[in-house]
Amino acid sequence: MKAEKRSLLCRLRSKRALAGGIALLDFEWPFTPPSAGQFFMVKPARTSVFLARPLSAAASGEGTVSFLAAARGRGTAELISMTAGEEALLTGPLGNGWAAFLPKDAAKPVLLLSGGIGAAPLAAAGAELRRTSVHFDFLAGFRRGADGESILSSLGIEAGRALIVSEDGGGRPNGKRGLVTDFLDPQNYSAVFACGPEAMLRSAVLLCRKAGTRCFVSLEARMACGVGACRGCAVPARDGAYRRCCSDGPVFDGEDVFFER
Amino acid sequence: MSGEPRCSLPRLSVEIAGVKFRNPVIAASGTFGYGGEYEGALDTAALGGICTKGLTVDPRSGNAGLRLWETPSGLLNSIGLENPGIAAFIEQELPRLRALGPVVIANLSGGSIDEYRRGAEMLDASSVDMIELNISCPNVKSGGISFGLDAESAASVVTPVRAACGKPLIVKLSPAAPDLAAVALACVRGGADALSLVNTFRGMAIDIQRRRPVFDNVTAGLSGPAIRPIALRMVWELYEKVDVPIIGLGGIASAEDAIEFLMAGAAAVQVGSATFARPETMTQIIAGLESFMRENNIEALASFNLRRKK
Repeated sequence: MKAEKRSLLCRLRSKRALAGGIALLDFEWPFTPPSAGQFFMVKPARTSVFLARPLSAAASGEGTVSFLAAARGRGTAELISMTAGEEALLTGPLGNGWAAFLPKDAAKPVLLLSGGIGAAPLAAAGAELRRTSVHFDFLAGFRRGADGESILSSLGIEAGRALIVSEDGGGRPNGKRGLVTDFLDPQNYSAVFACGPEAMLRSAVLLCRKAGTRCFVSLEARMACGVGACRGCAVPARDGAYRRCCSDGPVFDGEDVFFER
Repeated sequence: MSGEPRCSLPRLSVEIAGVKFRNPVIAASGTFGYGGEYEGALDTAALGGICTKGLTVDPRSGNAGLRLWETPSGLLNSIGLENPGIAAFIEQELPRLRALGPVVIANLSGGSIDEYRRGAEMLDASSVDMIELNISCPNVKSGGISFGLDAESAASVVTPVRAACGKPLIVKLSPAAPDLAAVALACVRGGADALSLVNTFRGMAIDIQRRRPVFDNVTAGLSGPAIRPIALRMVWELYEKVDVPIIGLGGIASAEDAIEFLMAGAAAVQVGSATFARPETMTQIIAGLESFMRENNIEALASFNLRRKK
Protein backbone atom coordinates (compact mmCIF):
# COMPACT_ATOMS: atom_id res chain seq x y z
CA MET A 1 0.00 0.00 0.00
CA LYS A 2 1.59 3.25 -1.07
CA ALA A 3 1.41 6.30 1.15
CA GLU A 4 0.01 9.47 -0.44
CA LYS A 5 2.78 11.91 -1.21
CA ARG A 6 3.18 15.16 0.71
CA SER A 7 5.56 18.09 0.41
CA LEU A 8 6.85 19.76 3.56
CA LEU A 9 9.79 21.66 5.01
CA CYS A 10 11.30 19.25 7.52
CA ARG A 11 13.91 19.68 10.22
CA LEU A 12 17.19 17.77 10.03
CA ARG A 13 17.42 15.94 13.35
CA SER A 14 20.94 14.70 12.88
CA LYS A 15 23.65 14.26 10.32
CA ARG A 16 26.31 11.61 10.58
CA ALA A 17 29.30 12.27 8.32
CA LEU A 18 30.72 9.05 6.95
CA ALA A 19 33.88 8.61 4.94
CA GLY A 20 34.15 9.38 1.26
CA GLY A 21 31.81 12.37 1.04
CA ILE A 22 28.87 10.37 2.34
CA ALA A 23 26.49 11.28 5.14
CA LEU A 24 23.44 9.79 6.83
CA LEU A 25 20.74 12.46 7.12
CA ASP A 26 17.88 11.94 9.56
CA PHE A 27 14.84 14.20 9.08
CA GLU A 28 11.57 14.67 10.92
CA TRP A 29 8.77 13.27 8.79
CA PRO A 30 5.33 13.48 10.37
CA PHE A 31 3.41 11.67 7.65
CA THR A 32 3.14 8.03 6.62
CA PRO A 33 6.57 6.41 6.47
CA PRO A 34 7.91 5.29 3.08
CA SER A 35 7.76 1.64 2.18
CA ALA A 36 11.11 -0.04 1.48
CA GLY A 37 12.69 1.20 -1.75
CA GLN A 38 10.71 4.41 -2.02
CA PHE A 39 12.50 7.75 -2.27
CA PHE A 40 12.02 11.44 -1.55
CA MET A 41 12.89 14.58 -3.49
CA VAL A 42 15.04 16.56 -1.04
CA LYS A 43 16.21 20.18 -1.24
CA PRO A 44 17.80 22.21 1.57
CA ALA A 45 15.90 25.39 2.45
CA ARG A 46 19.22 27.21 1.97
CA THR A 47 20.43 26.11 -1.41
CA SER A 48 22.06 27.41 -4.56
CA VAL A 49 20.54 24.79 -6.85
CA PHE A 50 17.14 24.89 -8.53
CA LEU A 51 15.93 21.31 -8.24
CA ALA A 52 15.56 18.85 -5.40
CA ARG A 53 17.60 15.64 -5.47
CA PRO A 54 16.10 12.14 -5.30
CA LEU A 55 17.33 10.17 -2.29
CA SER A 56 16.27 6.62 -1.44
CA ALA A 57 14.96 6.21 2.08
CA ALA A 58 17.00 4.01 4.39
CA ALA A 59 15.15 2.05 7.06
CA SER A 60 13.02 4.70 8.80
CA GLY A 61 11.70 5.16 12.30
CA GLU A 62 8.66 6.64 14.00
CA GLY A 63 8.17 10.20 12.74
CA THR A 64 11.53 10.25 10.98
CA VAL A 65 13.03 9.34 7.64
CA SER A 66 16.72 8.93 6.90
CA PHE A 67 18.80 9.01 3.75
CA LEU A 68 22.34 8.15 2.72
CA ALA A 69 23.62 10.91 0.45
CA ALA A 70 26.89 11.02 -1.44
CA ALA A 71 28.37 14.28 -2.74
CA ARG A 72 28.39 13.87 -6.52
CA GLY A 73 27.67 17.41 -7.62
CA ARG A 74 26.70 20.77 -6.15
CA GLY A 75 23.24 19.73 -4.97
CA THR A 76 24.36 16.62 -3.12
CA ALA A 77 27.39 18.46 -1.71
CA GLU A 78 24.98 20.98 -0.17
CA LEU A 79 22.87 18.15 1.24
CA ILE A 80 25.74 16.45 3.04
CA SER A 81 26.94 19.74 4.49
CA MET A 82 23.61 20.47 6.19
CA THR A 83 23.70 20.74 9.97
CA ALA A 84 21.18 19.52 12.54
CA GLY A 85 18.37 22.02 13.02
CA GLU A 86 18.40 23.20 9.41
CA GLU A 87 15.41 22.46 7.21
CA ALA A 88 14.95 20.82 3.83
CA LEU A 89 11.92 20.51 1.58
CA LEU A 90 10.95 16.84 1.42
CA THR A 91 8.45 15.60 -1.16
CA GLY A 92 7.42 11.99 -0.90
CA PRO A 93 7.27 9.11 -0.41
CA LEU A 94 7.72 8.52 -4.13
CA GLY A 95 8.13 5.59 -6.44
CA ASN A 96 7.03 1.97 -6.34
CA GLY A 97 9.60 0.53 -3.92
CA TRP A 98 10.49 -3.12 -3.45
CA ALA A 99 7.17 -4.19 -1.93
CA ALA A 100 5.52 -5.69 -5.00
CA PHE A 101 8.63 -7.75 -5.78
CA LEU A 102 9.72 -9.06 -2.38
CA PRO A 103 8.54 -12.63 -1.83
CA LYS A 104 6.29 -13.37 1.16
CA ASP A 105 7.87 -16.79 1.48
CA ALA A 106 10.51 -18.56 -0.54
CA ALA A 107 12.08 -21.99 -0.81
CA LYS A 108 15.47 -20.42 -1.30
CA PRO A 109 16.76 -17.22 0.32
CA VAL A 110 16.95 -13.94 -1.60
CA LEU A 111 20.05 -11.84 -2.09
CA LEU A 112 20.33 -8.12 -1.41
CA LEU A 113 23.14 -6.78 -3.61
CA SER A 114 24.39 -3.25 -3.19
CA GLY A 115 27.04 -0.90 -4.50
CA GLY A 116 27.99 2.16 -2.48
CA ILE A 117 25.03 4.07 -1.05
CA GLY A 118 22.70 1.64 -2.80
CA ALA A 119 22.97 -0.17 0.52
CA ALA A 120 20.35 2.22 1.97
CA PRO A 121 17.22 1.10 0.09
CA LEU A 122 18.40 -2.49 0.45
CA ALA A 123 18.72 -2.07 4.21
CA ALA A 124 15.07 -1.03 4.08
CA ALA A 125 14.30 -4.18 2.07
CA GLY A 126 16.08 -6.23 4.71
CA ALA A 127 14.01 -4.66 7.46
CA GLU A 128 10.88 -5.57 5.50
CA LEU A 129 12.02 -9.15 4.91
CA ARG A 130 12.74 -9.63 8.62
CA ARG A 131 8.97 -9.36 9.16
CA THR A 132 8.50 -12.46 6.99
CA SER A 133 9.92 -15.94 7.00
CA VAL A 134 12.14 -15.20 4.00
CA HIS A 135 15.86 -15.54 4.61
CA PHE A 136 18.27 -13.23 2.89
CA ASP A 137 21.97 -12.71 2.32
CA PHE A 138 23.43 -9.22 1.94
CA LEU A 139 26.33 -8.64 -0.43
CA ALA A 140 27.61 -5.05 -0.24
CA GLY A 141 30.21 -3.56 -2.52
CA PHE A 142 32.23 -0.42 -1.72
CA ARG A 143 35.40 1.26 -2.95
CA ARG A 144 37.04 1.07 0.47
CA GLY A 145 36.11 -1.75 2.83
CA ALA A 146 36.48 0.32 6.01
CA ASP A 147 34.05 2.93 4.60
CA GLY A 148 31.64 0.13 3.86
CA GLU A 149 31.89 -1.07 7.42
CA SER A 150 30.90 2.34 8.82
CA ILE A 151 28.15 2.83 6.21
CA LEU A 152 26.53 -0.50 7.01
CA SER A 153 26.81 0.17 10.71
CA SER A 154 25.11 3.56 10.26
CA LEU A 155 22.25 1.72 8.53
CA GLY A 156 21.82 -0.53 11.55
CA ILE A 157 23.25 -3.62 9.87
CA GLU A 158 25.24 -5.56 12.45
CA ALA A 159 28.85 -6.45 11.68
CA GLY A 160 29.16 -9.64 9.69
CA ARG A 161 25.52 -9.66 8.57
CA ALA A 162 26.57 -8.39 5.14
CA LEU A 163 29.58 -9.59 3.17
CA ILE A 164 31.66 -6.52 2.33
CA VAL A 165 33.46 -6.60 -1.01
CA SER A 166 35.78 -3.74 -1.90
CA GLU A 167 38.69 -2.68 -4.04
CA ASP A 168 41.04 -2.87 -1.03
CA GLY A 169 39.57 -5.98 0.61
CA GLY A 170 39.01 -4.16 3.93
CA GLY A 171 35.95 -4.10 6.17
CA ARG A 172 35.77 -6.24 9.30
CA PRO A 173 35.07 -8.99 10.07
CA ASN A 174 35.65 -10.73 6.73
CA GLY A 175 35.94 -8.16 3.91
CA LYS A 176 36.77 -9.53 0.49
CA ARG A 177 38.63 -7.90 -2.39
CA GLY A 178 37.20 -7.58 -5.89
CA LEU A 179 34.00 -6.58 -7.65
CA VAL A 180 30.88 -7.29 -5.70
CA THR A 181 29.45 -9.22 -8.68
CA ASP A 182 32.47 -11.58 -8.52
CA PHE A 183 30.82 -12.94 -5.38
CA LEU A 184 27.33 -13.24 -6.84
CA ASP A 185 26.11 -16.81 -7.37
CA PRO A 186 22.49 -16.42 -8.49
CA GLN A 187 21.77 -20.16 -8.31
CA ASN A 188 21.72 -19.98 -4.52
CA TYR A 189 18.82 -17.53 -4.52
CA SER A 190 15.17 -17.31 -5.50
CA ALA A 191 15.65 -13.65 -6.47
CA VAL A 192 18.25 -10.90 -6.36
CA PHE A 193 17.46 -7.29 -5.38
CA ALA A 194 20.11 -4.83 -6.47
CA CYS A 195 20.89 -1.15 -6.15
CA GLY A 196 24.13 0.58 -7.10
CA PRO A 197 26.10 1.85 -10.10
CA GLU A 198 24.66 1.02 -13.48
CA ALA A 199 27.62 -1.17 -14.47
CA MET A 200 27.10 -3.28 -11.36
CA LEU A 201 23.39 -3.64 -12.09
CA ARG A 202 24.08 -4.64 -15.67
CA SER A 203 26.53 -7.36 -14.57
CA ALA A 204 24.08 -8.62 -11.97
CA VAL A 205 21.23 -8.81 -14.48
CA LEU A 206 23.39 -10.72 -16.98
CA LEU A 207 24.60 -13.19 -14.35
CA CYS A 208 21.05 -13.72 -13.12
CA ARG A 209 19.77 -14.12 -16.65
CA LYS A 210 22.27 -16.93 -17.27
CA ALA A 211 21.21 -18.69 -14.06
CA GLY A 212 17.49 -18.14 -14.61
CA THR A 213 17.17 -16.16 -11.37
CA ARG A 214 14.96 -13.07 -11.28
CA CYS A 215 16.77 -9.82 -10.65
CA PHE A 216 15.05 -6.60 -9.54
CA VAL A 217 16.99 -3.37 -9.79
CA SER A 218 16.51 0.08 -8.31
CA LEU A 219 17.61 2.70 -10.84
CA GLU A 220 18.70 6.31 -10.60
CA ALA A 221 17.91 9.09 -13.04
CA ARG A 222 18.12 12.87 -13.21
CA MET A 223 14.73 14.12 -12.08
CA ALA A 224 12.78 17.35 -12.11
CA CYS A 225 9.31 16.59 -10.73
CA GLY A 226 9.86 13.17 -9.15
CA VAL A 227 6.15 12.37 -9.37
CA GLY A 228 5.66 11.22 -12.95
CA ALA A 229 4.47 14.52 -14.45
CA CYS A 230 7.37 15.82 -16.54
CA ARG A 231 8.65 12.60 -18.18
CA GLY A 232 12.22 13.78 -17.78
CA CYS A 233 13.54 10.67 -16.05
CA ALA A 234 12.88 8.35 -18.97
CA VAL A 235 14.36 4.84 -18.82
CA PRO A 236 14.39 2.94 -22.13
CA ALA A 237 12.52 -0.36 -21.84
CA ARG A 238 12.75 -3.58 -23.79
CA ASP A 239 9.48 -2.95 -25.65
CA GLY A 240 10.78 0.32 -27.11
CA ALA A 241 8.78 2.55 -24.78
CA TYR A 242 10.16 4.61 -21.89
CA ARG A 243 9.44 4.02 -18.23
CA ARG A 244 9.38 6.86 -15.71
CA CYS A 245 12.10 6.07 -13.20
CA CYS A 246 10.30 8.11 -10.53
CA SER A 247 6.86 6.53 -10.76
CA ASP A 248 6.95 3.36 -12.84
CA GLY A 249 10.14 2.67 -10.84
CA PRO A 250 12.63 3.16 -9.37
CA VAL A 251 12.40 -0.60 -8.94
CA PHE A 252 12.19 -2.53 -12.19
CA ASP A 253 12.49 -6.12 -13.32
CA GLY A 254 16.07 -6.21 -14.63
CA GLU A 255 14.86 -7.92 -17.80
CA ASP A 256 12.74 -4.89 -18.67
CA VAL A 257 15.50 -2.31 -18.47
CA PHE A 258 18.73 -4.14 -19.30
CA PHE A 259 18.64 -5.58 -22.78
CA GLU A 260 20.54 -5.67 -26.07
CA ARG A 261 19.02 -3.50 -28.80
CA MET B 1 -8.74 56.42 3.84
CA SER B 2 -11.39 56.61 6.57
CA GLY B 3 -14.91 55.70 5.64
CA GLU B 4 -13.77 53.43 2.77
CA PRO B 5 -14.71 49.78 3.37
CA ARG B 6 -11.67 47.47 3.43
CA CYS B 7 -12.17 44.71 0.92
CA SER B 8 -12.40 41.48 2.85
CA LEU B 9 -12.63 39.11 -0.09
CA PRO B 10 -10.39 40.10 -2.96
CA ARG B 11 -11.76 38.84 -6.24
CA LEU B 12 -9.15 36.66 -7.87
CA SER B 13 -11.49 35.48 -10.56
CA VAL B 14 -10.86 36.29 -14.19
CA GLU B 15 -12.63 35.50 -17.42
CA ILE B 16 -10.57 34.71 -20.52
CA ALA B 17 -12.24 34.07 -23.87
CA GLY B 18 -15.49 33.42 -22.08
CA VAL B 19 -14.02 30.87 -19.68
CA LYS B 20 -14.25 31.66 -15.97
CA PHE B 21 -11.19 30.98 -13.83
CA ARG B 22 -11.50 31.07 -10.04
CA ASN B 23 -8.02 32.57 -9.93
CA PRO B 24 -5.36 33.51 -12.50
CA VAL B 25 -2.88 30.74 -11.62
CA ILE B 26 -2.55 27.99 -14.21
CA ALA B 27 -0.21 25.00 -14.31
CA ALA B 28 1.97 25.20 -17.42
CA SER B 29 2.05 22.47 -20.03
CA GLY B 30 4.62 19.76 -19.57
CA THR B 31 5.07 20.39 -15.87
CA PHE B 32 1.88 19.03 -14.42
CA GLY B 33 1.25 15.83 -16.37
CA TYR B 34 -2.49 15.26 -16.53
CA GLY B 35 -3.19 16.65 -13.08
CA GLY B 36 -3.15 13.50 -11.00
CA GLU B 37 0.58 13.04 -10.58
CA TYR B 38 1.01 15.83 -8.03
CA GLU B 39 -2.05 14.81 -6.01
CA GLY B 40 -1.25 15.09 -2.31
CA ALA B 41 1.80 17.29 -2.77
CA LEU B 42 -0.40 20.34 -3.23
CA ASP B 43 -4.12 21.14 -3.30
CA THR B 44 -4.65 20.74 -7.04
CA ALA B 45 -8.36 21.57 -6.77
CA ALA B 46 -7.42 25.13 -5.76
CA LEU B 47 -5.70 25.95 -9.04
CA GLY B 48 -7.29 28.25 -11.60
CA GLY B 49 -6.40 26.00 -14.51
CA ILE B 50 -4.28 23.10 -15.66
CA CYS B 51 -2.61 22.86 -19.08
CA THR B 52 -2.05 19.29 -20.09
CA LYS B 53 1.21 17.90 -21.34
CA GLY B 54 1.53 18.61 -25.09
CA LEU B 55 -0.75 16.26 -27.00
CA THR B 56 -0.39 14.96 -30.54
CA VAL B 57 -2.77 12.85 -32.59
CA ASP B 58 -0.31 9.99 -32.74
CA PRO B 59 1.34 8.78 -29.54
CA ARG B 60 4.95 9.85 -29.15
CA SER B 61 7.50 8.01 -27.06
CA GLY B 62 9.73 11.03 -26.54
CA ASN B 63 13.44 11.63 -26.93
CA ALA B 64 16.27 9.19 -26.37
CA GLY B 65 19.18 10.14 -24.14
CA LEU B 66 19.13 12.65 -21.33
CA ARG B 67 15.98 14.79 -21.14
CA LEU B 68 16.83 17.10 -18.24
CA TRP B 69 19.78 19.25 -17.26
CA GLU B 70 19.75 21.74 -14.41
CA THR B 71 21.08 25.25 -15.04
CA PRO B 72 21.61 28.17 -12.66
CA SER B 73 18.08 29.14 -11.61
CA GLY B 74 16.62 26.99 -14.35
CA LEU B 75 16.29 23.83 -16.30
CA LEU B 76 16.97 22.64 -19.84
CA ASN B 77 14.51 20.05 -21.07
CA SER B 78 14.28 17.93 -24.19
CA ILE B 79 11.39 15.63 -23.49
CA GLY B 80 10.24 15.16 -27.09
CA LEU B 81 6.51 15.57 -26.49
CA GLU B 82 6.09 12.13 -24.98
CA ASN B 83 2.33 11.60 -24.82
CA PRO B 84 -0.14 8.74 -25.28
CA GLY B 85 -1.92 10.40 -28.19
CA ILE B 86 -5.13 12.42 -28.06
CA ALA B 87 -7.52 9.47 -28.19
CA ALA B 88 -5.86 7.80 -25.19
CA PHE B 89 -5.79 11.14 -23.35
CA ILE B 90 -9.52 11.67 -23.85
CA GLU B 91 -10.33 8.14 -22.78
CA GLN B 92 -7.87 7.57 -19.95
CA GLU B 93 -6.70 10.91 -18.53
CA LEU B 94 -9.43 13.46 -19.18
CA PRO B 95 -12.11 12.07 -16.84
CA ARG B 96 -9.77 12.30 -13.83
CA LEU B 97 -8.52 15.71 -14.91
CA ARG B 98 -12.07 17.03 -15.30
CA ALA B 99 -12.97 15.78 -11.84
CA LEU B 100 -10.20 17.81 -10.20
CA GLY B 101 -12.00 21.13 -10.67
CA PRO B 102 -9.67 23.66 -12.38
CA VAL B 103 -10.23 24.80 -15.95
CA VAL B 104 -8.92 22.09 -18.30
CA ILE B 105 -6.71 23.43 -21.08
CA ALA B 106 -5.53 20.89 -23.63
CA ASN B 107 -2.14 21.74 -25.09
CA LEU B 108 -2.21 20.77 -28.75
CA SER B 109 1.04 20.07 -30.56
CA GLY B 110 1.80 18.58 -33.94
CA GLY B 111 4.38 17.95 -36.61
CA SER B 112 2.29 18.97 -39.58
CA ILE B 113 -0.69 21.20 -40.34
CA ASP B 114 -2.78 18.12 -40.98
CA GLU B 115 -1.90 16.62 -37.61
CA TYR B 116 -2.78 19.89 -35.85
CA ARG B 117 -6.10 20.03 -37.67
CA ARG B 118 -7.02 16.43 -36.84
CA GLY B 119 -6.00 17.01 -33.24
CA ALA B 120 -8.19 20.08 -33.06
CA GLU B 121 -11.16 18.11 -34.37
CA MET B 122 -10.69 15.39 -31.76
CA LEU B 123 -10.34 17.86 -28.89
CA ASP B 124 -13.34 19.83 -30.12
CA ALA B 125 -15.45 16.74 -29.52
CA SER B 126 -14.11 16.30 -25.98
CA SER B 127 -14.92 17.95 -22.68
CA VAL B 128 -11.78 20.11 -22.41
CA ASP B 129 -12.58 23.77 -21.68
CA MET B 130 -9.95 25.38 -23.89
CA ILE B 131 -7.16 24.55 -26.29
CA GLU B 132 -3.66 25.96 -26.02
CA LEU B 133 -2.04 25.65 -29.42
CA ASN B 134 1.71 25.03 -29.25
CA ILE B 135 3.14 26.47 -32.46
CA SER B 136 6.75 26.01 -31.39
CA CYS B 137 6.81 22.50 -32.81
CA PRO B 138 9.17 21.89 -35.71
CA ASN B 139 7.50 21.67 -39.09
CA VAL B 140 8.64 18.33 -40.44
CA LYS B 141 7.91 19.49 -43.99
CA SER B 142 10.16 22.53 -43.74
CA GLY B 143 13.12 20.63 -42.39
CA GLY B 144 12.23 21.17 -38.77
CA ILE B 145 11.83 24.95 -38.61
CA SER B 146 9.37 25.88 -35.90
CA PHE B 147 5.91 27.00 -37.08
CA GLY B 148 6.03 29.79 -34.57
CA LEU B 149 8.97 31.69 -36.00
CA ASP B 150 7.16 33.72 -38.65
CA ALA B 151 3.69 35.14 -39.20
CA GLU B 152 2.86 33.11 -42.29
CA SER B 153 3.71 29.69 -40.78
CA ALA B 154 1.93 30.56 -37.59
CA ALA B 155 -1.21 31.58 -39.48
CA SER B 156 -1.02 28.40 -41.54
CA VAL B 157 -1.56 26.42 -38.34
CA VAL B 158 -3.94 28.69 -36.46
CA THR B 159 -6.40 29.10 -39.33
CA PRO B 160 -7.23 25.40 -39.88
CA VAL B 161 -7.21 24.75 -36.12
CA ARG B 162 -9.68 27.61 -35.63
CA ALA B 163 -11.87 26.20 -38.39
CA ALA B 164 -11.78 22.72 -36.89
CA CYS B 165 -12.52 23.69 -33.32
CA GLY B 166 -15.11 25.93 -31.70
CA LYS B 167 -13.56 25.91 -28.23
CA PRO B 168 -11.76 28.97 -26.86
CA LEU B 169 -8.30 29.02 -28.40
CA ILE B 170 -5.07 30.21 -26.78
CA VAL B 171 -1.98 30.29 -28.98
CA LYS B 172 1.30 29.78 -27.14
CA LEU B 173 3.98 31.90 -28.74
CA SER B 174 7.61 31.08 -29.29
CA PRO B 175 9.98 33.69 -27.88
CA ALA B 176 12.42 32.94 -30.67
CA ALA B 177 10.32 34.63 -33.35
CA PRO B 178 12.35 37.48 -34.85
CA ASP B 179 9.15 39.53 -35.13
CA LEU B 180 7.01 38.36 -32.25
CA ALA B 181 4.39 41.06 -32.69
CA ALA B 182 3.84 40.06 -36.32
CA VAL B 183 3.40 36.42 -35.31
CA ALA B 184 1.03 37.41 -32.53
CA LEU B 185 -1.10 39.57 -34.82
CA ALA B 186 -1.22 36.82 -37.41
CA CYS B 187 -2.44 34.40 -34.74
CA VAL B 188 -5.12 36.81 -33.62
CA ARG B 189 -6.25 37.41 -37.21
CA GLY B 190 -6.27 33.64 -37.68
CA GLY B 191 -8.71 33.30 -34.80
CA ALA B 192 -6.79 33.12 -31.52
CA ASP B 193 -8.92 34.23 -28.57
CA ALA B 194 -5.90 34.66 -26.31
CA LEU B 195 -2.14 34.30 -26.39
CA SER B 196 0.29 32.72 -23.94
CA LEU B 197 3.84 33.94 -23.77
CA VAL B 198 6.58 32.59 -23.43
CA ASN B 199 7.41 29.03 -24.44
CA THR B 200 10.94 27.89 -23.58
CA PHE B 201 14.06 29.51 -24.99
CA ARG B 202 16.54 27.40 -26.96
CA GLY B 203 19.68 26.63 -25.04
CA MET B 204 22.23 23.86 -24.71
CA ALA B 205 24.80 22.30 -22.42
CA ILE B 206 27.99 20.35 -23.08
CA ASP B 207 29.15 17.48 -20.89
CA ILE B 208 32.79 18.34 -20.46
CA GLN B 209 33.76 14.89 -19.17
CA ARG B 210 32.17 13.06 -22.09
CA ARG B 211 33.14 15.87 -24.49
CA ARG B 212 29.78 16.06 -26.21
CA PRO B 213 26.47 17.92 -26.00
CA VAL B 214 24.31 16.76 -23.11
CA PHE B 215 21.25 16.33 -25.32
CA ASP B 216 20.98 13.98 -28.32
CA ASN B 217 19.14 16.80 -30.12
CA VAL B 218 21.92 19.21 -29.07
CA THR B 219 19.58 22.09 -28.17
CA ALA B 220 16.90 22.05 -25.51
CA GLY B 221 14.31 24.35 -23.94
CA LEU B 222 15.39 26.65 -21.11
CA SER B 223 12.88 27.55 -18.40
CA GLY B 224 12.93 28.78 -14.83
CA PRO B 225 13.65 32.00 -12.93
CA ALA B 226 16.64 32.82 -15.16
CA ILE B 227 14.30 33.63 -18.07
CA ARG B 228 11.76 35.63 -16.10
CA PRO B 229 13.00 39.18 -16.86
CA ILE B 230 13.04 38.40 -20.57
CA ALA B 231 9.59 36.81 -20.50
CA LEU B 232 8.27 39.80 -18.56
CA ARG B 233 9.75 42.22 -21.07
CA MET B 234 8.10 40.32 -23.93
CA VAL B 235 4.70 40.39 -22.23
CA TRP B 236 5.10 44.12 -21.55
CA GLU B 237 5.93 44.82 -25.18
CA LEU B 238 3.26 42.57 -26.68
CA TYR B 239 0.50 44.05 -24.53
CA GLU B 240 0.60 47.26 -26.57
CA LYS B 241 0.32 45.40 -29.85
CA VAL B 242 -2.66 43.04 -29.40
CA ASP B 243 -6.22 43.30 -28.19
CA VAL B 244 -6.67 39.78 -26.84
CA PRO B 245 -5.81 38.59 -23.31
CA ILE B 246 -2.22 37.53 -22.73
CA ILE B 247 -1.38 34.74 -20.31
CA GLY B 248 2.14 35.35 -19.03
CA LEU B 249 4.67 32.69 -18.15
CA GLY B 250 8.39 32.25 -17.85
CA GLY B 251 10.11 31.63 -14.53
CA ILE B 252 7.25 32.69 -12.27
CA ALA B 253 7.97 31.27 -8.82
CA SER B 254 6.23 33.53 -6.33
CA ALA B 255 3.29 35.86 -5.84
CA GLU B 256 5.63 38.81 -6.40
CA ASP B 257 6.66 37.38 -9.77
CA ALA B 258 3.04 36.79 -10.72
CA ILE B 259 2.14 40.37 -9.77
CA GLU B 260 4.89 41.70 -12.03
CA PHE B 261 3.27 39.89 -14.96
CA LEU B 262 -0.22 41.07 -14.00
CA MET B 263 1.11 44.63 -13.81
CA ALA B 264 2.70 44.16 -17.23
CA GLY B 265 -0.76 43.44 -18.58
CA ALA B 266 -1.09 39.68 -18.34
CA ALA B 267 -4.65 38.53 -17.65
CA ALA B 268 -3.42 35.37 -15.96
CA VAL B 269 -0.18 33.50 -15.39
CA GLN B 270 1.17 30.03 -15.83
CA VAL B 271 3.68 28.38 -13.51
CA GLY B 272 5.94 25.65 -14.80
CA SER B 273 9.39 24.75 -13.53
CA ALA B 274 8.74 26.37 -10.17
CA THR B 275 6.43 23.47 -9.34
CA PHE B 276 9.43 21.13 -9.59
CA ALA B 277 11.45 23.37 -7.33
CA ARG B 278 8.66 23.61 -4.79
CA PRO B 279 5.40 21.67 -5.36
CA GLU B 280 3.25 24.13 -3.38
CA THR B 281 4.41 27.15 -5.41
CA MET B 282 1.06 27.68 -7.17
CA THR B 283 -1.09 27.47 -4.03
CA GLN B 284 1.35 29.81 -2.31
CA ILE B 285 1.05 32.24 -5.22
CA ILE B 286 -2.75 32.19 -4.90
CA ALA B 287 -2.50 32.91 -1.18
CA GLY B 288 0.13 35.59 -1.80
CA LEU B 289 -2.05 37.33 -4.39
CA GLU B 290 -4.93 37.37 -1.93
CA SER B 291 -2.88 38.91 0.87
CA PHE B 292 -1.26 41.47 -1.43
CA MET B 293 -4.68 42.55 -2.67
CA ARG B 294 -6.04 42.74 0.88
CA GLU B 295 -3.07 44.72 2.16
CA ASN B 296 -3.18 47.14 -0.76
CA ASN B 297 -6.96 47.45 -0.96
CA ILE B 298 -7.07 46.00 -4.48
CA GLU B 299 -10.49 44.57 -5.18
CA ALA B 300 -10.06 42.93 -8.54
CA LEU B 301 -7.27 41.51 -10.65
CA ALA B 302 -7.82 44.00 -13.46
CA SER B 303 -6.56 46.75 -11.16
CA PHE B 304 -3.03 45.37 -11.28
CA ASN B 305 -2.57 46.27 -14.93
CA LEU B 306 -0.40 49.40 -14.98
CA ARG B 307 -1.67 50.38 -18.40
CA ARG B 308 -5.35 49.57 -17.98
CA LYS B 309 -7.81 51.93 -19.59
CA LYS B 310 -9.53 53.69 -16.70
